[in-house]
Amino acid sequence: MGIKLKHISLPRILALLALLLVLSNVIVAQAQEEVKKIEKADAVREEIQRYMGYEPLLPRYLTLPYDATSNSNVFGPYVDIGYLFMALIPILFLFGLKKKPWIGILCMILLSILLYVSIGSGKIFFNNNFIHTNEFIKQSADGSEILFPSKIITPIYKSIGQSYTGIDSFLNKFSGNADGLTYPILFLLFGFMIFLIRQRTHEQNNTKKIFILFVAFFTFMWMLLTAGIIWYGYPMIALSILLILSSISSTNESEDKLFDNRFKKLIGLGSVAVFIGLSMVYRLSNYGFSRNIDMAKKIIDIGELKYQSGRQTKRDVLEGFFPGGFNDAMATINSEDESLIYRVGTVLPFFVKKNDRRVFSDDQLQNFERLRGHFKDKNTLIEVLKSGGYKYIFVDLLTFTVDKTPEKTLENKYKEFMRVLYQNPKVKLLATNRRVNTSQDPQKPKPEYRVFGAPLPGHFGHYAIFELL
Amino acid sequence: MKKVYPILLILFSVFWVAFVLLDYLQKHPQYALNIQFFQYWDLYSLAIGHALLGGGLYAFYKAKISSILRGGLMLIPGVILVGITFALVLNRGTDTSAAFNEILFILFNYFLVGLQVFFIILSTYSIGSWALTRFRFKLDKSSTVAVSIAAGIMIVVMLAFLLGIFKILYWFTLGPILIGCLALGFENNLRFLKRISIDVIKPSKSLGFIGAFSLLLLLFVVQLNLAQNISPFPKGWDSMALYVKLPTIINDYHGLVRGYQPYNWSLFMSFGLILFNSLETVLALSYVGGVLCLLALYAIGKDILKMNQNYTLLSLLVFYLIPSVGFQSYQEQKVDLGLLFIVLSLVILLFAWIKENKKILTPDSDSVVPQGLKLFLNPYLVLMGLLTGFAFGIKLTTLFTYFCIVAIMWFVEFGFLGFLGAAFLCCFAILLVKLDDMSGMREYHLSANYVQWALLLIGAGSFAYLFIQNSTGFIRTIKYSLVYSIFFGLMAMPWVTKNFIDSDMKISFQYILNGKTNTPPANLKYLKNKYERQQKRNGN
Repeated sequence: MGIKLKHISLPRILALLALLLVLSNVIVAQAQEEVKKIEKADAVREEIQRYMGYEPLLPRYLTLPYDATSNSNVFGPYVDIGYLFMALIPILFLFGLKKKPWIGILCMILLSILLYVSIGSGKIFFNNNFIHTNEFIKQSADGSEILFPSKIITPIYKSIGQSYTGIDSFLNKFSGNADGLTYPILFLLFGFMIFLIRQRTHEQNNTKKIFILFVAFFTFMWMLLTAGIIWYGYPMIALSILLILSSISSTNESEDKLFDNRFKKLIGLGSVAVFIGLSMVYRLSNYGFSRNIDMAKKIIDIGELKYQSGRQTKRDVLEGFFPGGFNDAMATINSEDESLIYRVGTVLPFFVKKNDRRVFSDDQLQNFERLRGHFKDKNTLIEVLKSGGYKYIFVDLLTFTVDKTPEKTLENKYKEFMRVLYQNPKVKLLATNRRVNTSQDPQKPKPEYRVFGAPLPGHFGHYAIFELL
Repeated sequence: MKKVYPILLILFSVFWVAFVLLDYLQKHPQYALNIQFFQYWDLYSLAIGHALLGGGLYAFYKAKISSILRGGLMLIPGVILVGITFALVLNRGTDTSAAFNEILFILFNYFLVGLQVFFIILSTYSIGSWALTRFRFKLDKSSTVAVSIAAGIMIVVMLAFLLGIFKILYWFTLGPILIGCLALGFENNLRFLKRISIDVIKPSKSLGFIGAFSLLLLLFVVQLNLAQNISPFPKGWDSMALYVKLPTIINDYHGLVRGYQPYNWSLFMSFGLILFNSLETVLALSYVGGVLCLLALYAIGKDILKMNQNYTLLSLLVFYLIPSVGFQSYQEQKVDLGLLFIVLSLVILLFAWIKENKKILTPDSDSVVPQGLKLFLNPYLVLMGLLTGFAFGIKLTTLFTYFCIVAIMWFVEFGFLGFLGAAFLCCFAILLVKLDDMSGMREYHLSANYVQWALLLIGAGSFAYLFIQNSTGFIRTIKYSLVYSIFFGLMAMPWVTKNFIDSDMKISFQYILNGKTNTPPANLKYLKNKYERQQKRNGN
């Protein structure tokens, strides 16, 4: 027994693991004849899972590193980690496999497949929006491709998108929204990753091995459990930077100095330099504006700047940030102690006294959906809220923009919610920063603070406060 | 094949890096917009230029500059640049040009908030370093500073937690505690202050252009971020909805708030309001998490990875320029950077523990303390457990770190097989308690229930094999894992207990993790009952 056990190597363990995991899937495949279609409205699906996208289950996980870099599912500086991780980690890994070229080549093939799947099931920025690759290939016009990279990237997307169509429909049938195979595959890949790390770190000291294993396991758990929310993975990001730079800086005194040192340094430091140059421009812009030229002009919010320099008081600043009667509405609300607030997605409760006791949050309108299902008459629904002690409604007018689900479940709930408020005699608007043209004469626009109607360009607004009468 | 591989690798690398960069730029049109409409090329040139100049000068006149280099001096270029930044933005963003007294006003507030935050951090360093000395921790210089602050934050937050239970979180209760912390290591603090302000800095001999450039640029961004935290209210969604909202409520009630996930870092942030009645300081205490991360990353690069100082400093700059990190540093004040600092301190401790453990396992006839006691009540292991528990009280995602540390313990004893076995057992535990349900993904995995048992089988199988191979090492590692887990549980216990009490003693995994808040009810059943009762009263 003892002799036999000594011959159990890591590859054998991995093979056993593969067998067990595949076996578990066979059992499932037999037990689950009908794969569930999960498309119901669900707050977690709308809010959390939007970061990883809604492609078939297996590519949803496989494309996570790419999604974290491209941010095509959820866009904004808060999810932007730059391109260095995706660009350099695989390359620096491959550099260490010089003595095991077959494994290196296998890794290149796997990376190419991963990139192919990521592009095929991903999105591209086109006509000022992100659209799916499979939608993009149907576009005949070139669109507003003012960006230089588009000229190189879009033909690649077109050709990959066309060849990926068949794979996509296969994955949709085979995996879809739910399957029994993705978990076994993910765990197998994790085992394979550890095998590769073992090969790669063969000649490195224990410190490096431990460091890499720590990052690898953390990354795996991040992929498995966080639906791609980037800040849950900060430790892997911070430690990876050290790994990247330590790998670039390490010099190999072996025979092939040119290959190991100069090229690695050139490509590594070149990428880092471009990153610093770009990031400094971004940092000296205003993160608060998204895809708006104000980000390059108003690098510090003007209201905040006036407060910082002593030109404005806090009240003035608030009026600047939330024009349209916010301060007065808040004064009224804060003059009361007990009245309750029904909040949909906005940050305004921060300014409400005792907000932990007075505010009910229904950001994804799940509670509203249940109420609406029961109370069909919109006046009655308002009466019901009032009977529960609710006197105010706070609405984020951009709630629907959070919705990235293919079924648009949140957007539909939001529209229904606004329908309840629309021309409802039991509801009174207290404040909003949306401006609507109320004039019939197109020559003489008359902007007014209102919620319903066609918002004026640049005045869509983001908040509204209603009082229930 | 060995000759072809380098060529293949170069071709692949060039294609890969070029594609990723171009694809990234294609999907981030803000870079093109920024560059096209950017109005602050002068500021940009100044920022980059001063770093280039400083880096160049240092590279050429290393000896001369080193002899006059002092910590306090290093901050001056950044302060000037911050002043210039605000002057330029006032001139171009408003109708009235910037006045000198306005810039002074900005810098005064900047220094005021900076000093308030420094006082709090120095107190934590003081108590932490005192504790580390008492328990004879042997860490390198940079690591000592990082771990002392981490341990100190843990201690003062736990003391604040105690005060919070009794609703006596006032400036006159918390203030003396922090002053007491300072007094505890008075001499050490003075030495520390002298070291970072007026003593001549002795940079490593390897420090050159890259390192000096990175440091100067980094110091400017660090200071700009602090200045931009001087805001009358937070601007980020999450900060207004939770992370800064909590400190304001804690300050209102002078105690802990009912419900919510554990909020150690928000409790720490509340010190700004409790002690100084300053929301700006609350925001800056979120921002300081990022600065402390730089400290911890530096310690890891220098003391653990033994990196060249130039590249260590370059790593810090890269980290701090990541847009997501920048966003959390001044736009969206959350707790993730604070949590990251504690996790990085845990990484430092993990490596220190591994080093220390090796020494203990080497027979030492002179030692009077039994080896078992030294191994299992090892201060590194205990502090690692306590800090993990504290981090768990910041965010539940600390469990990832916990599992990583346990798996590494098995790697240290048994190599890759030990790691893989432990990792699969951790994954079994994750699936068993349905942690994958928190992201709502569990329901899509139809084989999850079967996979978890397969993972148990593989994990247990490899552990059985390891036990047969080396039963002493196996039992030892089990004990390490247990000791670490017990102290982790110990530090997590106050929050678990609080949530248990808050939820009216209901035993529920959900309540224990998230607590039960004071949020008013609005569910269908409740509102329907209320409405029907009202209708009856009205005679309808």
